[in-house]
Amino acid sequence: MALLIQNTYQFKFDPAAKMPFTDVNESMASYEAIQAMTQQGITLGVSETTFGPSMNMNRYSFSVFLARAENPLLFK
Amino acid sequence: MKRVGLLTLLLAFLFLPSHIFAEETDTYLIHANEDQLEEIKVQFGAVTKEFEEIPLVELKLSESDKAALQEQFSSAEIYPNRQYETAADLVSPSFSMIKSAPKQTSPYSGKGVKVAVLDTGIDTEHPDLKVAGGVCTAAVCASKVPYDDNFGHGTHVAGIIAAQKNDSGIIGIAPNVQLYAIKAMNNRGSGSTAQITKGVEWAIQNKIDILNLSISISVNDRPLELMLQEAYKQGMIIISAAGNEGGSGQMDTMTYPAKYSSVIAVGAVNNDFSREENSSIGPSMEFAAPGTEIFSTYPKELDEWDNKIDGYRNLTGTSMAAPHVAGVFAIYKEQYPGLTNVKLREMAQATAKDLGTPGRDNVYGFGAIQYEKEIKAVPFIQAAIKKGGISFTLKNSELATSPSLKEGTTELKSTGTNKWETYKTKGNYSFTFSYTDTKGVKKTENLSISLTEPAFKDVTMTSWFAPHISYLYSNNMISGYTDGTFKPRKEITRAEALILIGRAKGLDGKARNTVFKDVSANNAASGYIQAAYDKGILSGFPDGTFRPYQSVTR
Repeated sequence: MALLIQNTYQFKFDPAAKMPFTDVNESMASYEAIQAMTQQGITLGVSETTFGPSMNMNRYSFSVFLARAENPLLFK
Repeated sequence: MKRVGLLTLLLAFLFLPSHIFAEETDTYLIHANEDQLEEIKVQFGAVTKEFEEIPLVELKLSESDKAALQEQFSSAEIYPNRQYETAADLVSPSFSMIKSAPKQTSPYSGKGVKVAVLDTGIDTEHPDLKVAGGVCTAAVCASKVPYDDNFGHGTHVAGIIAAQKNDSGIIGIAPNVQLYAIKAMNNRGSGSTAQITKGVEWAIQNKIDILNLSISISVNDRPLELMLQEAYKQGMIIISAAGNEGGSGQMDTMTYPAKYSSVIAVGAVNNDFSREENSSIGPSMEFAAPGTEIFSTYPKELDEWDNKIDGYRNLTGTSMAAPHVAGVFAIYKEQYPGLTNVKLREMAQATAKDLGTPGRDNVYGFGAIQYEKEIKAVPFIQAAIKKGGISFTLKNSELATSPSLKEGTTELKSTGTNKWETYKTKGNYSFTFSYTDTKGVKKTENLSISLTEPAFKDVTMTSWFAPHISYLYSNNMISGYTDGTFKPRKEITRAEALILIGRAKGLDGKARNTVFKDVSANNAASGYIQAAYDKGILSGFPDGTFRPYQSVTR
């Protein structure tokens, strides 16, 4: 999801910012996308320290992220 | 005008304009042999159209040219270029007096607005009227459909408001309203307190937006007043004829229910805006509207007045003036969703065409009602509904300082200066608009908006994510399942996610073969998947698959 949304919306983000999640590392293809998602406020992870990158998503949470990506003014 | 117990209809016999179906212009069609046609074109020029399959040209000719051509080319056939038009709905000239002709009100037509005519019923078989429903509270009802009109008065009133746009007969001010008949008056045009009060109650229970009362009662009838007060409190716009009692000077000849403060009283004017001589006068007068020789629908079986048994006739009186005002309010009601009866009344007052003594007076009230497409005199909220989305714009913002729009105690998200937006599921919602007016007075106004969609069985406003889903739904990105559910907690597949992204970004979703070996043109998402691939949004798995049915991971 993170990669798909970031590829679609190309949000600006700070690549030097500290990654708050212990289950995400730089070798993952979605590393930068996850940085963008959290900095953009689209998702804040499943806990303070975990993002849950391999967890499956349900229809409502994907809808929430897409709405936030489409219209940050209304949904962030 | 109908009195309780006593009938006074003012009649007028007028010849009706006949429709023009064909009309000559100064262009002509010339049919002759090819050689002659060439010569004609050289000599007479001004060819406006040529035909290929038969020797025929269209020419612009003066009367003398035409005669000359015919003389020189005696075998040439000259035909007039006739203008054909479909038989049109006749627009009452009275509508232009209040800026409510179809040209002036377009694109609004009263769509979605429920209007009831409490009267002698409405002719349910009239080809120019579509009655959505009704009730009979009179002592004597019609035999087949209880609220059918066997007197004529109610049918005439109804036609002014809502005669159909059907290229025949007439058209009403608001032809697309849902029209309801409340037959509280019997076949002699009379009714009792209980019958009329019961009719108003039916209007409340059936959520009627606009109630037309072209009735006149000489006494103050408290039970009726109480019921009308309740209807007004619940948001109904109530309009009544002022009465046809004449009068002069400071006399108060107005009748009930027009005199009640919950009711908008309408007097009648002639075609030149002068008072119709019998129109009542008094301090409760609110608007003037056309009421002289108004041409409208009438039950055909009773239409014996003008020697034309065609289902139409002229009538005069404040009974005919009131439905003009009801029609204008129906247009406003459609144009301004959410505004209360109180607010719409204020807006109509502020835009009336002042007549007689400057300001409000006993003869014309605030003046002749006028439909104004852009009301300038009053600050108000223009709401626009797009499925589950409501956007609000403050109009005439220069007249309102510190504007605020709240739902309960929460300020709505602003999407720009004097603009707000919110997304909801099916239901009724109330908002509060507050501002300070130009006199420094703090004002608070309510707005109530009904949404009919999205109506997913398993997503309601109790779910925190409902606004997000409604947003996607309102922007045609997601539609849920055919069984009316959304299944919010079901895992989302990669194919479904790509459909959502594709719709959000306006990608070409036409099903087609893709670069992925497991996504063929048979897959509903194939178009979006290929389009996303082309845009570099996705790349698939190293083995050349996309795995469309696998769940999306975070």
